[in-house]
Amino acid sequence: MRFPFWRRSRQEELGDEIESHLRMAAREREDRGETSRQAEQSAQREFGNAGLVREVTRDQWGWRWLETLFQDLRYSLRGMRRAPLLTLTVISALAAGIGLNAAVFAIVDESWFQAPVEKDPGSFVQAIPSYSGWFDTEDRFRGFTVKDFDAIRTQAKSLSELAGFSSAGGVKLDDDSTQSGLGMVTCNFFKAYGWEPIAGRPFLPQECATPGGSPVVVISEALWRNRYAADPHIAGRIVHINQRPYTVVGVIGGQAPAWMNPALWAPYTMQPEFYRGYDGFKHADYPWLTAFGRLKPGYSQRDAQAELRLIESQQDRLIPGRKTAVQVTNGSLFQNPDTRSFGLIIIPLIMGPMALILLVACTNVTMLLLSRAARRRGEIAIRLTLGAGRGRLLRMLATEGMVIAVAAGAISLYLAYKLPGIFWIFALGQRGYNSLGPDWTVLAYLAGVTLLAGCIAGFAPARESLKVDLLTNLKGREGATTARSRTRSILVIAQMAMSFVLVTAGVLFVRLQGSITSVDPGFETRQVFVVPMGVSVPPYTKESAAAFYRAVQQRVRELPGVRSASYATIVPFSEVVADEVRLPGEAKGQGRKAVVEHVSTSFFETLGIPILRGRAFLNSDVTAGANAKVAVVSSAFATAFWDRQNPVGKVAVMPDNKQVLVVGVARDTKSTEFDVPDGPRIYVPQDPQALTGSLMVRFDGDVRSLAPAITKTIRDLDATQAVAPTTLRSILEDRAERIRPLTEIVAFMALLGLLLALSGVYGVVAFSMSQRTREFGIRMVLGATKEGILLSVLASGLRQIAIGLLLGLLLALPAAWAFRGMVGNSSVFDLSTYCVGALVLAATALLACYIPARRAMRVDPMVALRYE
Amino acid sequence: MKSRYQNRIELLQGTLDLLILQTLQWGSQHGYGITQAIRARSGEALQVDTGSLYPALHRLERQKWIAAAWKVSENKQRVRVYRLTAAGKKQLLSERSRWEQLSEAIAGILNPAKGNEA
Repeated sequence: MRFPFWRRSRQEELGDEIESHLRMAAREREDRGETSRQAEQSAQREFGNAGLVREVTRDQWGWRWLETLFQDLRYSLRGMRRAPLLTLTVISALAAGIGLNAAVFAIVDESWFQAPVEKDPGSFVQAIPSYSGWFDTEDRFRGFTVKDFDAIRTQAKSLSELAGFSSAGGVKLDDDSTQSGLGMVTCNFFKAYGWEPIAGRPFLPQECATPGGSPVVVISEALWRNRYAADPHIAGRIVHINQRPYTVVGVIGGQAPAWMNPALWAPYTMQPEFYRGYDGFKHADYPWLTAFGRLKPGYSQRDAQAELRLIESQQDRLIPGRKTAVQVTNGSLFQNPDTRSFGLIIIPLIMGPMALILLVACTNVTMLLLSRAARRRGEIAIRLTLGAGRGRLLRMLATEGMVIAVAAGAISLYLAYKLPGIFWIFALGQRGYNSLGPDWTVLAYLAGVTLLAGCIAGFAPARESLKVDLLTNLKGREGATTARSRTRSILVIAQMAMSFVLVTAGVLFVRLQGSITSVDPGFETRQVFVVPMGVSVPPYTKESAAAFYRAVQQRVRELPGVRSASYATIVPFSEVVADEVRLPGEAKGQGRKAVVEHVSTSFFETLGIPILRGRAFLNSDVTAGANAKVAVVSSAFATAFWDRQNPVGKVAVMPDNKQVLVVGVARDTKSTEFDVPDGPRIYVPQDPQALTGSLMVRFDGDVRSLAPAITKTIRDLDATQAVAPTTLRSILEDRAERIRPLTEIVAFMALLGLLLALSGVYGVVAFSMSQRTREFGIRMVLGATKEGILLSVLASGLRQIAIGLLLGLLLALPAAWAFRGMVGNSSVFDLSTYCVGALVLAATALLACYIPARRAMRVDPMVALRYE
Repeated sequence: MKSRYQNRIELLQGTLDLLILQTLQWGSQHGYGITQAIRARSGEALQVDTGSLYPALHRLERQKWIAAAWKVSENKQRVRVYRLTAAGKKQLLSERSRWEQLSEAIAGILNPAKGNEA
């Protein structure tokens, strides 16, 4: 015993003490006349078992548990050193499992549960109001009006800082063809988040004093580096935002949460500039400010919540009928009621596969250790016969699993430290806001997972080792029962089941990724531009705006290569809101949900949507006046409203109570949910006076030559327009691109699962083949053919694989169901995905069975019988 | 095997501790000496098992009732000699009174029974 240090000498002392006892006893006997040999023997006989006396005496010293722990540690280290390859495999498999888990947990923890600030996150709060009795749709707005915000700022004693944020969406910076995100903030916003300026200064309090008074901006570090080459003299430069001059006052550091992510920041008092004439300072009923703050020392979130509720209940008196409930959170996405429900789906979907990978890795380790445990039965049998307690042996063997887990945990600590940063860059193309490495939550999680892995990996092998039949094992022979272990086949089945879920998820994502761009949405995508447009009134008048829209359509149509150009209120592949459409005679509330789309008469031609029955719109439909309103309905609409009757000539009642005559039926499109036919949709000709809509342009020839021409045409009419024509196809590709990192991560996990399953099955089969060599020898001598034995081995493997796959299906179905809720009812969820997953896995697993089985068959029966 | 020894320690625990402490009260002594002393004083009736003696000695030492030191005996042997500490003397007193109470109580139970028989 090298530890504690005095232990060795104390052992020696005890030995000396006993020795002197024996000598004295012997001497006395000699004095009484016995011979020295006799005296020595009888003294020893009288003393009893000296080793045992020593042992029992040592127990009195305390520290006994530590001593046995060190014995166990030494034993397991020795065992590990004796089989370095096995140890290395086992530790790296576990480290990969634990490390991945901890890394992903760190990301989830940071992006969902932690306050979104680096500096003093404990005091950061977000105030989230929810209103009832104010708007038609309850709980839709999560912002404060300027009056509410001011009331809280001046009255709340629990907050030392109250900052507001609102997104202005995309703005046009100078002459850029793409838009840049702009955030409108109160002038203390950066202070509340704890960000420091890199160059120049943050906003001054007086810049938030008068609405519209301070055209200044602070730019983000990314914009500063990428666009201005980190110009140290950026402060003072004039930039144009939506054609209006602003002065850059500084560059701000710090990482904004991904959902804000603006390139530019402006004082919130500039809001009227960005909301196209809707003034948040004049309209008291417009809740547009998201509020963040810092708690004063000594106040809790609960105190702040109580105080803010009180303030808001006073504010409610100003707006009749409104009732406000304020919630104060730590600013994380998970505590925000709007994002929590999404989190409740997405977090299990992320952590579930991670848990599976860890479990698969654990079962792998268990199987490897099991095979060693079986080999060690002889040793265990000897220990048992010599009188070792089973509990003591169990502890000794379980320590081994723990040592492996702790070693793996240490390596995964490094992974947990390094991987999240890599994942962030990989998945989002940006640095995470907290790059300081894992915090205590993550470390605790890592430790928990490591211990769990150690228990799982170590316990079964330890138990298996103790399942010994003393006689057979001392003889050094395996009984038939021990060679075919039930634990092992259960493990194979479990591993198959878990890997199946992972592989299926991988197949699903790869298919999803591929099908986004390959699916036919039911209209042309490659040869159609979408040009988003917007006009503000003022400076436009209603008339001049309508004239502008008409002129744009007219001029774009005349461009060479353009076949047709139409306005539509709904851009394909964006979200839609369904309205209620009724049949004549139905009261409000009795109708059915349908999407109403206002389009130019040439819309169906532009997008290439075929008309199945009746006709498309004619120009005369618009000029005929309000009395002869017509509509084209989608097939789904026709089926929903008139079942199998011919809808042409039928009448429908629109949400505004006007009746329309159906003149045609258009084919269904797949434009909202991916690869899912749209629900009922009704198209009506757009009012020529309407001031909304995006321009769709159908063209022939090359994309690159036409896009600048369209931009120039529109800019010639109104230089303030931020025109960026994109094809529908590129919208789809963007979308496919957005899920690519996710696909790659899932595919990687699936591959890992597959590899782990492969090595697990291989290990088990190889081991059981080596144990059964003798049995095969006997069988062959008795007349079995090699092929017959091989088939029987494969068949039993196949049985385990099949059971595992069935169980895996039970696991995969609910997960797929939850996932389907997020991406829509796509055809990639059909049976073939599961079949592909099952086939891949089964083929791999059979191969893993076949190779060792094949090798076992090559052994000569006589050699096999003489084996051992 | 081990458990048999442990059981015996537990059975003897109270009395063995008392006997050891009492023996050391008469003077410092080594392990062998203690067994011999107890045997002699009890008129050969009490035979102390070494498997109980040494664990008891080490336990008492851990409780700081006795202290041990290496000395050289008259026979020029290195021996580990135990002596009673101040705390040990107190412990001896309390164990003695406990023992006396116990033996009185037992005697009280046994004697009337004897009387009835007679």
